[in-house]
Amino acid sequence: METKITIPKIIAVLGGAFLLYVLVSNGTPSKTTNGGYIDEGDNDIINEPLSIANTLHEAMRGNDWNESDKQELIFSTLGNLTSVQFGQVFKAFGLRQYNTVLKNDLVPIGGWYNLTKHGLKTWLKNELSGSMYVQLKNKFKKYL
Amino acid sequence: MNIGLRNPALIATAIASTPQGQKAIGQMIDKANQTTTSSLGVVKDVLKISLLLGVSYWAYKKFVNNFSKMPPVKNARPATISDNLAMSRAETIYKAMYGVGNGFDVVLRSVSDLKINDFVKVYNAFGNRSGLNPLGKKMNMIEWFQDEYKGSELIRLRFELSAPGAPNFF
Repeated sequence: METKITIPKIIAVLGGAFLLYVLVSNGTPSKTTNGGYIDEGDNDIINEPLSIANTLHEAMRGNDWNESDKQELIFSTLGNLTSVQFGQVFKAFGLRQYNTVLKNDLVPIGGWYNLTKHGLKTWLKNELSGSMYVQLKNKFKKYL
Repeated sequence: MNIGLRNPALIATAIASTPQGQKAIGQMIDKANQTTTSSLGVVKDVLKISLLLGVSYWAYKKFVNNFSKMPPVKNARPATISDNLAMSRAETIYKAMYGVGNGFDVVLRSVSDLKINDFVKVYNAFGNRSGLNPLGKKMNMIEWFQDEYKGSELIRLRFELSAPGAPNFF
């Protein structure tokens, strides 16, 4: 029996193969280049943990940021970090002067006293409400 | 008629006033009228079809529950929760948001132990659901979140699903 290889048939076969490829490739998830899943903290370390630490510091230190903007900054910044990356930021933040009563780092003019320095854990605990802090604590158990 | 090089306007008037000229003008006007009548008809037909299409589209949108499933997020771990768990989680979330109060604490708890593709599975299980008004628009889970929660609450929900390189669901 003769089977004619016509152009429509070729197109149909190629089309079918392509469709199959699309279905298969969308069905199986591909991992990141270093072999980890993006939601399992197996990612690269960040290059500028200090600048992230400074951004957080700037938002929390004074009285000029309103609460919801502050919360938005903290949650959106920390949301994009894995545990390991948060650890980098935590270390880069180090200890910074903070008034835990007034929730800022303002010293009176003349600076006749120094504020105690605190780490990022204390800062966050003081700047955020209880339930918000608990959310962060659950994600970054090792540090908070 | 000897025309020569005369004023064109005068010539046109002269031609128009001859019997042949009058007939030609009459024919032109008739033709113009016909075109107008037939194009009016076409316009009417186009309007009718547009109205029909518009009504059909409105009815389709209103009554057909066309929910499209979200595909899993690549590079995130494949979903591990069962279909049953996904459905019951969707129910929990729906009940928390339905009716009075937005049930933020319940929804936050419900979302916090879901990984990204588990969330996608719950989203798909939720489908489109209506609010207190049964004739109102049905919304998918993300539309519900955006409807129920203000900015700071959405940010806290988003935090639970964030990861570097992950899409922002809402």
